[in-house]
Amino acid sequence: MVSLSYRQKRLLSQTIMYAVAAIIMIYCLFPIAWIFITSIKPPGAEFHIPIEYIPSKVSLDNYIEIFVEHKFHYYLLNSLVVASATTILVLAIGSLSAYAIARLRFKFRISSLLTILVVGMMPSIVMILPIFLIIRELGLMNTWLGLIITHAVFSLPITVWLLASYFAELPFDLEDAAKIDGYTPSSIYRKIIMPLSVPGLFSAGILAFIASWGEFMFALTLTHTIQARTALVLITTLPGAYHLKWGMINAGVILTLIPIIVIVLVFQKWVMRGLTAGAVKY
Amino acid sequence: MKIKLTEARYAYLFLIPTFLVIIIFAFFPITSTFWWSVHELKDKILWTGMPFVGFENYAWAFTNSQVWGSLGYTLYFVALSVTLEFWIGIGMALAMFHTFKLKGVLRAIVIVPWAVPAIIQASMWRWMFHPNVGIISDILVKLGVISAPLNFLGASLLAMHSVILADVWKTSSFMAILLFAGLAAIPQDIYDSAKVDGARGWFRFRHITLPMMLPIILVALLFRTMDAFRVFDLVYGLTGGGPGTTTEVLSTFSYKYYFSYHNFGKGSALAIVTFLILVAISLFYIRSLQKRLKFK
Amino acid sequence: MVEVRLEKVTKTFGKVIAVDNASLTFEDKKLTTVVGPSGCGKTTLLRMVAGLETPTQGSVYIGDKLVNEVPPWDRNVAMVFQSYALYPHMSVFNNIAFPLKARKRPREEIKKRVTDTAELLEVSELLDRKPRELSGGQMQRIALGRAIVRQPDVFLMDEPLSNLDAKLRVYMRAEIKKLQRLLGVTTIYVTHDQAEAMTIGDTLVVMNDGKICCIGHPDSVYSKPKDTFVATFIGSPAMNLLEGNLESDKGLFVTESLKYKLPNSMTRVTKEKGASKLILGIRPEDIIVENFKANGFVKTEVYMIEQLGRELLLSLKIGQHIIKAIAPTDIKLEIGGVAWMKFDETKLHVFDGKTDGLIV
Repeated sequence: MVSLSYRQKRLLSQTIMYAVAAIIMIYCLFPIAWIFITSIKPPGAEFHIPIEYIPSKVSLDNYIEIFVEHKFHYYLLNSLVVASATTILVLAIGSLSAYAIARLRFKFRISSLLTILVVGMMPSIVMILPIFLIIRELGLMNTWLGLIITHAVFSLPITVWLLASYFAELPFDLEDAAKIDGYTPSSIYRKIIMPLSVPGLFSAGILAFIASWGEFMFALTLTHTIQARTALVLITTLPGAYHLKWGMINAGVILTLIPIIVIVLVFQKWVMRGLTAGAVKY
Repeated sequence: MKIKLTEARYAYLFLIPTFLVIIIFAFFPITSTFWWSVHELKDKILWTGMPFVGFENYAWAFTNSQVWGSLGYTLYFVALSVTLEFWIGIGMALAMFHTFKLKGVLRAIVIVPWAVPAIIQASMWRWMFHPNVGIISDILVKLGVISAPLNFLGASLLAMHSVILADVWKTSSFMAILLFAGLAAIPQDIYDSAKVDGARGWFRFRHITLPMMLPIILVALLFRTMDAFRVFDLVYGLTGGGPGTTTEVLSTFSYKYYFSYHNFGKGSALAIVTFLILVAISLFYIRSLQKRLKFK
Repeated sequence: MVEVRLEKVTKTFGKVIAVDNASLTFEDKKLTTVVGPSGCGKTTLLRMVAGLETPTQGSVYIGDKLVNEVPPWDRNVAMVFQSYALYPHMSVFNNIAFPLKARKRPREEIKKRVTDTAELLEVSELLDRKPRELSGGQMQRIALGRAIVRQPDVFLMDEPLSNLDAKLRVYMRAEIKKLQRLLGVTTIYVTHDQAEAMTIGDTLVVMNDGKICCIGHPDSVYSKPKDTFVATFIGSPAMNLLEGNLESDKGLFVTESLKYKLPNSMTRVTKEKGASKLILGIRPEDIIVENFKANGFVKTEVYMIEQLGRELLLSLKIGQHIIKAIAPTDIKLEIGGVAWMKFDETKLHVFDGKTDGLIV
């Protein structure tokens, strides 16, 4: 055994760490990079053997095709509208409940929080059929609204949980002072809690947006046409009919990914805070 | 005249919208699903005339080999996927924690797979697993691991593990984020003290880092176990349960009974079984959560 | 023999210089206190001895060995942290045993040494508890126990008492001092509390702004402060400083509102040094105050009276100056009234107004 000096040991462990870091980067980014590379090859070139790791010819035809042939922009619009509206709806009703649970004294606080949390743990599959029928009865089949309501149901628990933990951190003195000054709970909520909770609302909102943008089972079941179908549902239904159009499908994948990856990178701090808030501190 | 409300009344008022939504769109549906699961309910039979069959659908489920197969694969999927993503996740978290100069970059990159929607992830991996021009086969051939391209999603044993591999890519990223937060929450003094006390590398990890992270590891594992149990999008998009029913998980299997076979009674029974297993896991989860609940 | 020696040690964090070219020796078997205001670099200095920070420049020696590159786990040093840094998931027994376990000592030996240490510190009945079930004072003792159990070459203590209440702090000071005498281990003790540093240390090191201002026996640092920083930092209430000029022919120290005749010997030395701008320093307890006029006393206005218990702290106003003085509690004075004061000439300090260094 060669014995290493302390300096060499430290250098070695640092080198290993950076090598691991490089592997992690490749591991995380390679699949996306490969999809992107495929999408910028000319249509048909994705099936060439040997596989071209670096495309010999770059073309945007796949992108043009998905917009022209399938009117992909309408599907992206559907995704955007549904995800944004879901976010707003969930924040509006979720923050009210979170405020009640975190700040007001009443008998069923813990039990109502747990009831809401349980909903978040249910599998979608157990609700898909009844919700399908309810939405149909309400005449909301293949509409934005039908999807918005359903997505809200699934984002509510995590939103309430996040906001409740956020509200619980705010000093109670603020509220006591406001109560003595003659404010009611509803005005305290509007004038004190809301303005102070912008970062918390932001975290919860981003998570709700990402969840709705990526939701598949209900989007698949409750929408059928370009009127309300979301981008990722279209992409998933393409291979059946167009199994030779992988270049175009991958162009669709990249287009669907861009908005959320941008959001996640730009608002990384809030995303991390939201993801870990429930887990690290209670 | 203005009505004066007590604090408790305000609370109930504020809870109304949320509870309305979850009662109509969560509790009522679950009750209906349960109700249907004890009836015979197929496309041929009119909804008005569904005959009550008691637990016949459940009896069917527990004697059907395909259901057992699907339950078996679901459990295998959960166990292997959660184990793999935990170890990969903790490795990633440690690397994120120790590469000081790259910390920010690495954190940004690690979060990316988590953000990829599961169904998109399925599409991506389906392309990478392509039998003729899949890049994974190609790389393995170039490295000399295999001699000819593999049909990853075509052969049952291979498909079962390919699905898990694809799942781990996304979920290990989530694990890493949670575990990194757990690592960062350990006070620096504790590390310093352990170093001065003579604890090096593995000993320090084993006796200080790991035990200190135990609460968050527990939460992360439970969280992921529940999520893995509900897996639908990835399997639906990647294999559709095939080849045969080898990669069928409980969720995709009941979806098939609903929307392909139009056998709503049996589909509901399967969904309820999935639900009950999850309730058991979540009760465990809530109990461990309740102990730490901060709201007093 | 284990002495700790720093040679021209500098540590920078980015552009911030935490420790600036520090050279000193911590003597074998002695307790050296390092004191200074927060941010002066004293903790960084300690962490470099521990191996938790690597010096940017210079060398750290423990005994005769250069340890710059040696990681903390291979230096035989023990450290007590301000936060105690007890391992929350381990029992008290395992906390104390941890350094021994890390060194893979036999089980029997660990058990014996932990029990002995617990007895020495009178915490035997706590061994099964978890840190969260302990009071602050108990946690402090366990942290000490973890440090002494392995018989280290050097003890490092980073503000070990600052999280305790005042009464316990004074008690533990004596305990630590006693323990250190008993064990005879070279100890570096960092604190921001100058009173603690004075009472506990065999040697006192004062740091400011990353630099070492002075090293010496606590008494001599107190009675002959090297410069105005040390003069005001050591001792509470702080030394009074008056800026002024020397009219050398008459031996008069002159400020805007005060003329004071310096003792001849002082005038002579000051003249030899060629300084004309001066700072006159006098500690509050070296001022004699009376409520009647007496020979050589100066008239002042009583600005504020604070009760310290066994004595009074007076703020006396002369023109622009507020001078703090200690007086016995039985003196009859009123706020806004008149008091007469006189400096004890043997306890006067004269500093150079340009360099802040001590002249006499």
